[in-house]
Amino acid sequence: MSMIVIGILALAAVLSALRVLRDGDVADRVIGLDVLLLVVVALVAVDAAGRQSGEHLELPLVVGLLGFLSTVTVAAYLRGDGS
Amino acid sequence: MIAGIGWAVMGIGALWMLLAAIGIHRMGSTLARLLVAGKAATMGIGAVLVGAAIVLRDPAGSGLLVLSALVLVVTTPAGAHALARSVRGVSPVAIADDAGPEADGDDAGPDDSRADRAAPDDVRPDGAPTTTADRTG
Repeated sequence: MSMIVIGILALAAVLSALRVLRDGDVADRVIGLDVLLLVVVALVAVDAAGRQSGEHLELPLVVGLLGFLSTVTVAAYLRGDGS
Repeated sequence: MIAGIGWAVMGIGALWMLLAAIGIHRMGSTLARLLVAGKAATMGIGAVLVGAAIVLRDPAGSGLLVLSALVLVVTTPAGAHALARSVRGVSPVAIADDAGPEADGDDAGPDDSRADRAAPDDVRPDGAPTTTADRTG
């Protein structure tokens, strides 16, 4: 049961990483990194639920807050046309 | 039973995140990709974290998962909104740079503000007396 969800999320992570590596504006790469970070948070949560271990569950909170902070920081330095 | 419901919720959330990861490839413009990253990914991460909190039999871990789900559901659309404002050429965070009483023109983009600026040049001889009459009367 856990392997199916982890497989779907791994496919989403590969697609998000390809979005970062593809051609595009800086805004598109930031979108890809944002979705990739959310997929990583979801993978940590699914892994904790699959192994029934609540040991490192501070990590989704910290990574989510750092992702929001980095997105707003990059948005503050973008110019108007997304590059 | 409870674990089955939790795994079903997690599977739905993972499918939404896969949909978001497909959507940031398939959408045509940057703002459409931001729409996907702000809505579908938010739905996916919320469902995955709540499903994991249902499955996990540790109250402290479930509380942390629900807390991080709340934080991410709030902050992910806010980040996408800041990025969308920055792409459209507006300041990404709506700090009161024009702290007038008419803050409606703040969140309008450059195109809308240009349209608003072009419109009163035509309408001003007709429009200005009516507005003052409405405000005084």
